[in-house]
Amino acid sequence: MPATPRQHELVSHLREQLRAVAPARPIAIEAERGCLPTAIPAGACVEFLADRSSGALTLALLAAREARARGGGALVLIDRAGLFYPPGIAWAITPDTILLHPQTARDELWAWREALACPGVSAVVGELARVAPKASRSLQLAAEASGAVGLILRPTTVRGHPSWAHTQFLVTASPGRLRRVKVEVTHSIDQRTGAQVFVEWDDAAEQLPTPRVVPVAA
Amino acid sequence: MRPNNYPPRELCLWLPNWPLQRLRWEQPELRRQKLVLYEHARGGRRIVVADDYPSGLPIAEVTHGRLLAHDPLADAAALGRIAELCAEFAPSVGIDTPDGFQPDTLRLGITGLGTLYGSEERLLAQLAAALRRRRLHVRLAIADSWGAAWALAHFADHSVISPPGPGPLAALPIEALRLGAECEVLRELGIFRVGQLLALPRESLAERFGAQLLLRINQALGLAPEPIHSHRPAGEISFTIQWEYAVTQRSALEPVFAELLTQVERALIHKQQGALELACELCGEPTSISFIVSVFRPTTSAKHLAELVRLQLERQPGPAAVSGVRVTALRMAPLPVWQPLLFDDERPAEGVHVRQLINRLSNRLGRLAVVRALPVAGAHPELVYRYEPLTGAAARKTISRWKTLPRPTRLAREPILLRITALAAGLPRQVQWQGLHTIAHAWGPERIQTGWWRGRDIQRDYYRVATTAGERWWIFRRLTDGQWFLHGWFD
Repeated sequence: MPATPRQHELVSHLREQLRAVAPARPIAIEAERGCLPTAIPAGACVEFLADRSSGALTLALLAAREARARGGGALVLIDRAGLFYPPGIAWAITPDTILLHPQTARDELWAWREALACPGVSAVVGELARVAPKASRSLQLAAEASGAVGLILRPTTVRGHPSWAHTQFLVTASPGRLRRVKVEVTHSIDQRTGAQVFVEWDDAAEQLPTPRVVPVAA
Repeated sequence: MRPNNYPPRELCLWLPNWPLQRLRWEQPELRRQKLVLYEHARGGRRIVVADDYPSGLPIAEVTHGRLLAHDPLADAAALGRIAELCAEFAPSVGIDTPDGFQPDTLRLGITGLGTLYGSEERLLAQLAAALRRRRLHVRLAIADSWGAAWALAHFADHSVISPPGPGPLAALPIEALRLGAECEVLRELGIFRVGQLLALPRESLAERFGAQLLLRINQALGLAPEPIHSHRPAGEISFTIQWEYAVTQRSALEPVFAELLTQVERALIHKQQGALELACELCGEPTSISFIVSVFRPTTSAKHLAELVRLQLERQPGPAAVSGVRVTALRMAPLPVWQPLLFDDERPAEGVHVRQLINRLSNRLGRLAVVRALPVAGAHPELVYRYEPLTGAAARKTISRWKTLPRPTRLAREPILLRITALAAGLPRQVQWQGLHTIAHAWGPERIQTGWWRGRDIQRDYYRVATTAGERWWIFRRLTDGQWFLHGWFD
C-alpha cells in the first residue's frame, strides 16, 4: 500500500530527529572516489540492486577499494555461488583479501555477520539475494559495531522490500561501446533519494578499471 | 681446518610424484594399482596427480585407476618423517616449501661432511641406499648452492654431484631456476636453456623481467643467500580424558575440551611452539569421530582454540554417547616473535582480529571455504588461478603475478552452450540463452590454445560482446566444431 503524504511527512520528520541525535560517523567511502552518488559512512551496509552483468560487482569492488584505502583493514569477498573469477577482479585483490565460499544460506549469513563485526575488516563484498528484515538489521548492527562497510549485491526484484541497509543504490547498465552505468539512490537513512551519477569505464582496454564519474542533477 | 673454511655444499633430495609415492609407501597393497588422486574444486572433483592422467582433468573423464582423495596434510607429515630419517646423515635438514606447490623436496646442508664420509660420492651412495631400502624412489643432487642442487635434482637425468661453477646448469631448461610466469615470456623470446639466460647482460634482466628472475639466477649461482630452515621433530602433544560412564549431553563436552586445551596450551608454551592444527577425537559408542581444528597463524591460546572447537562441535553429528575425549596437536610452528612495545595499544590489534576471524570462519565453514586466490602461470581460463586455504599451513609468499588481460568478473562453472539464431560477419548477432539477446558490439578474437599436459586441450577464440540491453559477456567459439559458448560476465 503506497504511503500517504502525511506518512511521508512523518517519516521525514523522524529522520530529521534521528540525524540530530545520532553520532556522526567518519566517511568510509567518499562519493566521487567511490564512484557513488553519495558518501558512505563507516559502519554502514549498502545494497546494490542490479541485474546480471550490469557492472554492480565492479562498482562494489571500487567502493571497497576506496574504503580500504581510507581506513585500512582486510577485504572479505563472500561468494556462495562460486562464480567470482579471480583473474577478472585481480585489481581489487590484495594479499590480505579473504575469499569465502559458504555452502549453505545459513552459513552465508553467519559469515556476513562475522566478517562485518570484525574490527580488522574494511569492507565485505558479496551477493545476498534473500535476507529477512531481522537478518538485515543484524548485519547493519554488526557493521556499526566494527566500522566495516558491507557492500551487498542484490537482484532488482527485491526493490521495495524492507531493508535495514543504510543506503540502497539501483544500478542500471546503458547499451553502448563504452561501459556506462547509472547509479541512483533509491533508499537512504540520512540522504535524499533520487541522487544519481553515471559511471563510465572501459572494461575492454585494461584490467584495472579507471572510472569516470559523470554527475547528474537530481 | 674449521668447518667455516669449507666451501658451501647443499644436497637436494627430491621425491618424484610424492603424493602417489607416499600412499604406496604407507600402504604397500597399493603398489600394484594405478592411482588417481583428486581434490574438490569448482565445478566438481579434479585430478591432483595420477599415474595415467594429467593434473586438472575432471574425474568424469577418468576411465580406470583407483580413485583416492588427495591428502596434502598426510603428505607433509610423511615428508617430515623422512626429514627425521635424513637427520642421521646431516646436521641440518629442511623441508623445501615452494610457493604454490605441495612440498616434495628435502634440503640437507652437507658443508664439510664429504671428508667425514670419505667423499661426497660415499655420502650420496649411503643416503640413496638407506632410502632404497625403504622402497623410496628419490633423485639426489649435490651442488655448491641450494638453487643449483634443486635444479639438478629436478631436471638432470640422474642423481649428480656437481663441481663448483655454473657449468652443469647451462644445459638445463629455464624452469630449473624455480621461475613462475617469467618462463612463458622467456620462451616466447626464444630462451629455453639456463645457459642462454646466463649469457644475457645481468643488469637489464631485472628491468625487463622483474627482480625475481635476477634473484633466482643469483641463488642458483650461490651469489644470493638462501638460509635453510631446519625441520625439527617437535614431539607429540596429546592429552586424553576418559570416563567410566559415557556422557550423552553435548554441553558437558565443552568444559572437558577447555581443560584439555589448557593442558595443550601449557605444553605448547613449554616447547615455544604454537598449534596450527589440532585433532579432536570423541571416543564414543558405538563409533568414534574426529575433526580437525586449524588456525591461520600458530597459537597457544586455549580460550581461542576452545571457541574454535565449540564451532566445530555445533556442526558435528557425533556419537550418541561419548566415553572419552582426546586432543592432539597435529601441526605446530614456532610462535611469531615481536619486539616488546612501550604501550600495549601500539600492538597491531587489527591483524589479531583478522586472524581470529579467519580461524572462526575456517572452523565453521570448513578449511577449503576460507581461501585466498593465487595466480597460476598458463592460458587455460579455468586453470590460471587456484585457491589456497588460509589455515593449516604456514603463510607463504607467491611468485606468480596476475596477467593484465581483460577478463570477466564472473566465470560460469562450465561453459554454457549458446544457440545462435543469427550470424553477421561470422559473429553471433542474435543469441538464445535465457531469452533472446541481440549482440550490439564485439571485440576480439583472442585465441586461447593449450596443450594436453595442462588438462583438457582447448582451442577457443574468445570475444567480449555487449548486448543491446547493456550486458557484457565473454563468449568463445570452439575451433574444433564451431560451437559458441558463454563463459563469463563482465559485472
